[in-house]
Amino acid sequence: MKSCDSQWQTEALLEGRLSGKALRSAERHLESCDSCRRHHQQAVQIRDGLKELGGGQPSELDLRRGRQRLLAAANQGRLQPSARSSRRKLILAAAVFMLAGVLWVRIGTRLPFPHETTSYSVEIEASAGAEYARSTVAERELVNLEQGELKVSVVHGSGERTLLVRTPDLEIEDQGTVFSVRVEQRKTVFVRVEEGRVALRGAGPRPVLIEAGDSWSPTQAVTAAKEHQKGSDAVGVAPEAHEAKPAPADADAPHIAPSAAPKLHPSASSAAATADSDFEVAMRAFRGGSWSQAAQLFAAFEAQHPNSRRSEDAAYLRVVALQRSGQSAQMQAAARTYLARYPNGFRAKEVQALSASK
Amino acid sequence: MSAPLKAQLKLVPSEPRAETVENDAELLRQVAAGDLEALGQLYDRYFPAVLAFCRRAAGQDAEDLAQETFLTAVRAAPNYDGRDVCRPWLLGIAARCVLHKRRSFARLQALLQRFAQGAPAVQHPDPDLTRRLEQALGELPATKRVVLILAEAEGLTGEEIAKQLGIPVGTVWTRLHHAKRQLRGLLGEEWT
Repeated sequence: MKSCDSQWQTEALLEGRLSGKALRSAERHLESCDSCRRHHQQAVQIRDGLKELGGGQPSELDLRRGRQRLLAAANQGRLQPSARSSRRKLILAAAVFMLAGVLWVRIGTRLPFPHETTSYSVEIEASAGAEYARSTVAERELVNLEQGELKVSVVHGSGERTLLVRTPDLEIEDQGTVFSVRVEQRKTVFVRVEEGRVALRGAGPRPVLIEAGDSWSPTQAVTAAKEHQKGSDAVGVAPEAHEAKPAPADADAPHIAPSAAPKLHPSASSAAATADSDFEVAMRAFRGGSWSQAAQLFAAFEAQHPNSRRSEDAAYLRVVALQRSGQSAQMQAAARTYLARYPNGFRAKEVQALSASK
Repeated sequence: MSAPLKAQLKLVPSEPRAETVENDAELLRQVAAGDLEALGQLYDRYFPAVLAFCRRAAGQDAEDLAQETFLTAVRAAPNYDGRDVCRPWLLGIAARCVLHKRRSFARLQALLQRFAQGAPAVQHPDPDLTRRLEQALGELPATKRVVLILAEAEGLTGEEIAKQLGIPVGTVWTRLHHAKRQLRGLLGEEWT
């Protein structure tokens, strides 16, 4: 059959592109033209045939299975950085590595490389009459202080060495530090941190973290060093007290910047409000994708508010943040901490999965 | 675990919740906020339609493509344009997923045949036409095939297809016209 020149009208009619006079004209033409009528019927057949294709309803079981699969994948997607982002990171790392290699080859032929840029070292300044002894056990340097005052400066190299200062009543573990400690009559009088952080053990039921700028004394838990100095001159003005910060169980907890560490207020209700506010600050960093910062803030939160109702959330989110920031070792440690504290926690299974994923 | 955090990180629900959100825009707003239960509702509402489209347009891996469509929708939900019904939007995502795959004709044809054998029996007045349509569809280029199915089988308007695929509406009509003509040619002389 010869095709009609107005066949386009049939297509346009089916596609709903005609209206008004054009529509009526096409309909009239369809009634009178055999070729277009046949074309139209075939087009309807094709449309119906296409609708039939793939139209079999999935079974209820398939739907449920697919639903579970989708929700699990969506949930997983929240925990895992996207594959594209991982690929980008990998490519970037490879590019940086190659660039470093090229630079090393080019510069290395002209300039001698230093054998070692930094190495682990400990400097101890002892006050007159101080009694102390140094020894090394495995990778740990021990300083036993019996009497007097020591100022300890530790420079950390690439190794795993650590420093422990023991007084008759306390243990002070260095975590990247310049600090002073004084012992009088077999009692520790103060520990004052100038840089970095130390963990104090034996001062209470849990370890206490002392940050740069803070100090500890038996009568006043942790006090800002500046206020401490002022306080000696200005009698009657109480120094600003910080709550002692119990340390996380994992030794390699990230350093908490003093400015980032939230402060607690004395009353219970205001303490809860502060906890909420601190948690929100950490959540903002988390939502913004600042994973390292979020991990630090959650660690700070855990240290500051160990009994908060959000403490478990913070512990879990810290694991997630560390995982997303690519800090695998810290993530593992944080995961262990979470599982130790909350073996039946809401997120225990997910933390186990994250810990196993590496 | 505290309530605010539960709102952000929900456990995978095993059952659909009782209350349903009628408006798709509101549902997608909840999906964008990380509500997995809302995603479950979206799935319940549109998965069969998306799956059917993927079967028509791609044949193989239709299940995976439908899943991929919903996962893409989760990522794209914050940018949803706020229409009350999101079916065209989801089908647009599905179409892009299908176009991204770009499988070969032979593979597609083989799988369409397998699907035709394994699919639940659909009583079609002309089983021969169904088989020939499957074969002919497999021979169409993916770009034309997707437009043809969105227009003919899914009933999307030219404007909707243009918007969802990110192409001018004139291109939609051109592709549709060529797809139909090519399809008729593949079906046989009596169809031209």
